[in-house]
Amino acid sequence: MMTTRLSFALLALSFVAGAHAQWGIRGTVIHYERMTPRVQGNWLVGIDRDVSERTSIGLDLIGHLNFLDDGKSGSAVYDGHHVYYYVVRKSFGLQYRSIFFLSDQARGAYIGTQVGFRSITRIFNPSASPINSGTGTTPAWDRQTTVQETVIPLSFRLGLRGELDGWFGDLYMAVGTQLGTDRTASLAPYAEARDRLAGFTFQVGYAIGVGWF
Amino acid sequence: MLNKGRQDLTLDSQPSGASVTVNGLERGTTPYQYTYDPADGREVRFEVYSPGHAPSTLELRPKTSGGVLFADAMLLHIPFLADKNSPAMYNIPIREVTVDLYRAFSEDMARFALPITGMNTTLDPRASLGTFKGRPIQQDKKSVLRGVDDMDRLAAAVSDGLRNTWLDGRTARMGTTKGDEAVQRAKVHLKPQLRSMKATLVGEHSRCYGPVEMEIDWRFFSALRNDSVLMSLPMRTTYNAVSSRASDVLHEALAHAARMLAQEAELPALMAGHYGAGLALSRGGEVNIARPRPIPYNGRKEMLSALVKAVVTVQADKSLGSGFLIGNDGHLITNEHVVGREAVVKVKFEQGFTLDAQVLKVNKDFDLALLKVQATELPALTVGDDLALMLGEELFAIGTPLDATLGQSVSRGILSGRRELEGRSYLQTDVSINPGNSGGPLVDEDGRVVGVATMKISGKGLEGLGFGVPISVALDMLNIRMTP
Repeated sequence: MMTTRLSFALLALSFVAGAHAQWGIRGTVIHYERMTPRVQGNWLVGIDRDVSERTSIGLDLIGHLNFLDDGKSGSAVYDGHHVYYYVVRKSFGLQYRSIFFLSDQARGAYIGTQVGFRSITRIFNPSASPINSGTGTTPAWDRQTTVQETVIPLSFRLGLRGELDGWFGDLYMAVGTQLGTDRTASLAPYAEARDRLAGFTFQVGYAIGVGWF
Repeated sequence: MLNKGRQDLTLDSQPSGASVTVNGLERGTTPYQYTYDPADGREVRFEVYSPGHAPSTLELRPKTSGGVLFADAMLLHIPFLADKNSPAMYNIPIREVTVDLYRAFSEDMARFALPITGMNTTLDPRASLGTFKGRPIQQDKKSVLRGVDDMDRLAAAVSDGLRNTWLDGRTARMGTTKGDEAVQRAKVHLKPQLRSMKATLVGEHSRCYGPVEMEIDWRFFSALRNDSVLMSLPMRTTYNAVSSRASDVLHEALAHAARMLAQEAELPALMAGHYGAGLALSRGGEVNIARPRPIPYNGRKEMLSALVKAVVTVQADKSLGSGFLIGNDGHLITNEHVVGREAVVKVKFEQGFTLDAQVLKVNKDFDLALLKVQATELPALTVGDDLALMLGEELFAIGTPLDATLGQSVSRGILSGRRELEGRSYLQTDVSINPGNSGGPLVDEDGRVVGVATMKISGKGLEGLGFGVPISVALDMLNIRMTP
């Protein structure tokens, strides 16, 4: 939590200290993100601020599009059982972007870095049946389990953005990793690898927004 | 600290010794050594001023280097937060700047209209126009100096450069009524020729710096003699672009060259000479008219009823106005705008008869026309001395306001003043001058014609602002000599 508080302080300072008075707000058109190997769709809203003729910073609030995702199923063989499970995912987070434009006038292609935090929740509903019938006790893990983690994603970002003057668009992708522990192996040990937190993360998306001086 | 940029600038002016303000605060005189301080802001505004010259301003935007900004961005802007107030964070993109201080023109300097009827160039379309960041500037649509083949745009830049000078340079398109009229009135028109250009620019598209040398042949043409070249002034100028948008550099360099033209010491006298010669040319050949016999009348009571016999209603195809006889042999004066382009007009006399009048000559500059009817022994007005008229002296206008049925109407007023409008002399009077009065005589209290009623200024709340051409000017501009 200490790291998260530090990030917030840094973000607040950045937005106050910027000298290039150009602002924008944005909303997502699409934003896919790989937090687990199962890629998920998200909503995103954010603000942009150009701090020089070549650099810009931004802050995004990102959440899982729950209404488009009512759960995923998986199966495994674990501890002498066939396990079928159903997992519901929820997530939200904050992300700070810092980008450098390859050409003047704060528009066009850019590269940058981003950091933030994600609160990722997965609710597992397993159903176990013994491989050899007759071994009758129900295992302790065969019950609904909630795995909630807070991680810090760090990524490199590439994209194309318009000038923050009137309507603008931002087509982007980011690759990186996320720092934090994953307790899936201990709380839902039967879960397939695709339902555990990913070591390699990526984002791809397109946002539109409106900017002003 | 990742940057070790330059923060010093030497600001000079031409001529030097001018005062310098930075963001409104006086700092010194040119040549002035400036060191950037982030407290001066991201855009530093310099103003350079010197007595007898128009002030010149320039804005400088110090830049952080791309490498520093890249490092900032990749390190989440943390270095930026630490260093943004350090001067070493910034670079001034140019070490030396010389601003040109343009001479201020005195308010009472004679102004001349100078229509700019185009521009042409002898530049080789394949030739480079100099360099931008060390690379040749080609003449194409992507060039930083694009538009060098757009003659209308170049002419507009020249017009901008002449703004607020003694030359009223406006673009005019020959072959259009408005353009031709402007050229006709000005007597001289300008069609410069861009002969060479060499720019040495550095910086970015949004902010570039460096000299732009131009060689322009300023060619002045006659409006009256089939566009013959009156004079040609070749000039070489150097414009120092400072923090200009690359797309504006061409415009600014041409405007600068035009401004330098206006500062040419001998040009006012040359323009005055050519304008005067043009005016003389539009007077046409000399016409001798025998001084008429005075119209007899007994006392002032009968004066006006006698004089109206020498005043006529002029009816052209599309207009109606007034006129007056200045010779017993049928010579009449009226306004040019009454007769328009017609060669023959109808002239209705107070006595009730109508004659055809031939339009002998017109002078558009002074809105005057000389007509002649084939008749003899006609009553004519005696020419008075408009220069001897005193302010407040009584004047009468005789004419045909509005409609032919109101022919030879008389109104009375006084001489309100003498005015110079667009370089022409006028008598100002509060006599009622209405449509149809144009071309009629302004008569003094001794019954002599002293002016030609020409126009009035009308509008809501305006009254009594009539103007007439003095009779001495009318005779001069129609080249009429009154013989004994």
